Amino acid sequence: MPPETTTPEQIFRDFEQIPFLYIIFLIVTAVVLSGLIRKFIPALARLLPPRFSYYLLPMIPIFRLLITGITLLLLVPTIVKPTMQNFIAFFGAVGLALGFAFKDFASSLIAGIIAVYEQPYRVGDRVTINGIYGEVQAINLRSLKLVTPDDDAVTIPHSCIWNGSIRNANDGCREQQCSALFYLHPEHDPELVRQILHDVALTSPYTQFSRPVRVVIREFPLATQYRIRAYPIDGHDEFAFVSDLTERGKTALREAGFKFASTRSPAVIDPGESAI
Amino acid sequence: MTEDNEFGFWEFVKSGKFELPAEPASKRAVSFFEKLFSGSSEETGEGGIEAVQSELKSAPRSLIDWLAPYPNWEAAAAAIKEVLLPWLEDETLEGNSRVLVAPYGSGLGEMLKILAEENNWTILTAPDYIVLRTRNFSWLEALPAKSEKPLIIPRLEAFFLRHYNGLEHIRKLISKLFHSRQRCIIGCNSWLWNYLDSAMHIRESFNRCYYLQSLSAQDLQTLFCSLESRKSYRPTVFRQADNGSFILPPEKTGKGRLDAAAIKADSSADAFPSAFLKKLAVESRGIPLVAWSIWRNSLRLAPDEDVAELARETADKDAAATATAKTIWVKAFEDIELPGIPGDIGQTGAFLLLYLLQHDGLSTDAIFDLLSLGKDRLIGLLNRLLKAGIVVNENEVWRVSWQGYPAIRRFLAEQDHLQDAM
Repeated sequence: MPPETTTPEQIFRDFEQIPFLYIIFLIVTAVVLSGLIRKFIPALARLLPPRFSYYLLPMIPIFRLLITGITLLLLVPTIVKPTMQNFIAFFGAVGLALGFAFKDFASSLIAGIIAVYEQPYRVGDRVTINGIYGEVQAINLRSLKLVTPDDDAVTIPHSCIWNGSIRNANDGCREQQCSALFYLHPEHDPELVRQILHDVALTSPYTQFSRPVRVVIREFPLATQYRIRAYPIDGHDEFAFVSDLTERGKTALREAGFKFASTRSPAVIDPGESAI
Repeated sequence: MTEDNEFGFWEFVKSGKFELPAEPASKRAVSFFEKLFSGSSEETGEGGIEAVQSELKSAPRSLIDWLAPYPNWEAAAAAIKEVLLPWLEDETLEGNSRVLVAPYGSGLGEMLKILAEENNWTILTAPDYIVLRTRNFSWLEALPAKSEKPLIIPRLEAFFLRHYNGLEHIRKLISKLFHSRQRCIIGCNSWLWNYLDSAMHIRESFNRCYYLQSLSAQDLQTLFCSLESRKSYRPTVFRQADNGSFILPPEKTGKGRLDAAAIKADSSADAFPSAFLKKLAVESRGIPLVAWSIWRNSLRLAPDEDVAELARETADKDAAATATAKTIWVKAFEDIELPGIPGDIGQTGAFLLLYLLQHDGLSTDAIFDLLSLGKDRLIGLLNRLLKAGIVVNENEVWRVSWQGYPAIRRFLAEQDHLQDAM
């Protein structure tokens, strides 16, 4: 007995049966809702105290994904005859087409869905992906948008999560550890330097006191490195905070008569400092 | 009523016993919904009353000074002495210092100065601001030699600078006091106390600290009656402008006090403290000078024909008794215009206000020195805040206005910079 075959005529509804107005209405509604979500949630986050933005902004991609999913679920039965066989055939065909023709696009799309649930990055997080550091401004279906400290916008496809590593500095929290580095001539009193730098951090207006302030010393051949590790109240102030620590730290040390390392040979540069 | 009973509301308590004035549940619910739907507000009274109220004139400054003069702090100083008496009389020193903490606008420094003057105790003078920003600690050598009498530091804020060298001055001062075994009474505002506790765990350096208990509506009533009675030699009645009810018990205001029995309306013991004072206590968080400055702002004068009809009707009931009294109209609490934070002052504004609170005022140079946020920006900000009534400039020192304090506290909380111990 020959196997039963399904023709396109059997899968799709007749042209006259397709409710084009309804489809247009669904698509327009989805686009409008998605746009509203993109506008409304950031506006709400701006109205509320800053800490709420860390809960609200990551919800944008989840809502948008839900809207897209529901729209697709509503759209497909209007085009495809609603039988199990037809659905399997339709989604199988679409999957195959995407797999071959839009492999990378589909890969990013699926990675985007996984990223929404796994959350290796959220809107507002400060991440390093492929060596690019910046704040996640938007998570779209296919890609995410980073804004670097130089105010450049960088679009990175979600497929980066398959192979690359993602370094997330704050991982959904408002706080983020920051460090400011100082290199001094090796001949000095380290206890006094530590105390001065500790006070530099404690007197900064940005400092978060619920987290520890530490000064870490590391000896290099031509210099002693001091690293202030502290948290700003709001991680968005990372650069302002580091600049404040550096400016006041340098002034404090100079006033106290300490001599800075005059030569920064490669040996005194910490390989880990490139992140900031 | 004895003097003790009248002014017994000044109370210093241990940290666990500090309480804010009670906020009615209805007020809390209204505040929540007001925040949620910022367009809606509490009822504004009957039509026409608002228009009449707008015609009320601000009382002249001289009259306000007469009706609500600046508080004197003798009773509060006596309360401090009373709470510290067992420690002062104890010959085996359990701890050599006691700290008194009070919110900004509590007059704590003045209380301690009066206490020192009355008992002939030594007040420790703070070094100049220029000295505090250096690592020159020689001023500590000039501390008075150990004596039996306590040493008084009325405002620890004067010894503090939120500068990289500033904390070390405080550390060395505490260390010096600890080693000297000299009894010392230190006053500190709650903002600085919170900061020092976060930054250097100052609380652990002292055996005991006391907090100024917030003033309840009843306490405010006693305070305002006493202030008015200090100068006024004729009966005065304080009525709320929109409904004519008494704000303060008429039999307790003015030297020529009215006969309570002759006053029918609103003068029963149940009516006091008035709803106005209850709201004032909550808004001001029971802080004396904050409540006092809002009280002064609410005092109005109006010719009889300007008064709302409802208010006049109520007043007529007591006409016989109050004919000889001067009527002062008090704006309904909801109608008092308090300073608000200008929009978009953002984080820079929050830093500036926080620093002003922690230092209890700063000179322009000190602000530039401590906040490296750009002089132009700071000057613009100071001017905007001055115009809005949020800060004042007195004797070249910028400080937070007492009336603006409730708005500032809310703003700092919204900005996540609420660093207040009380």
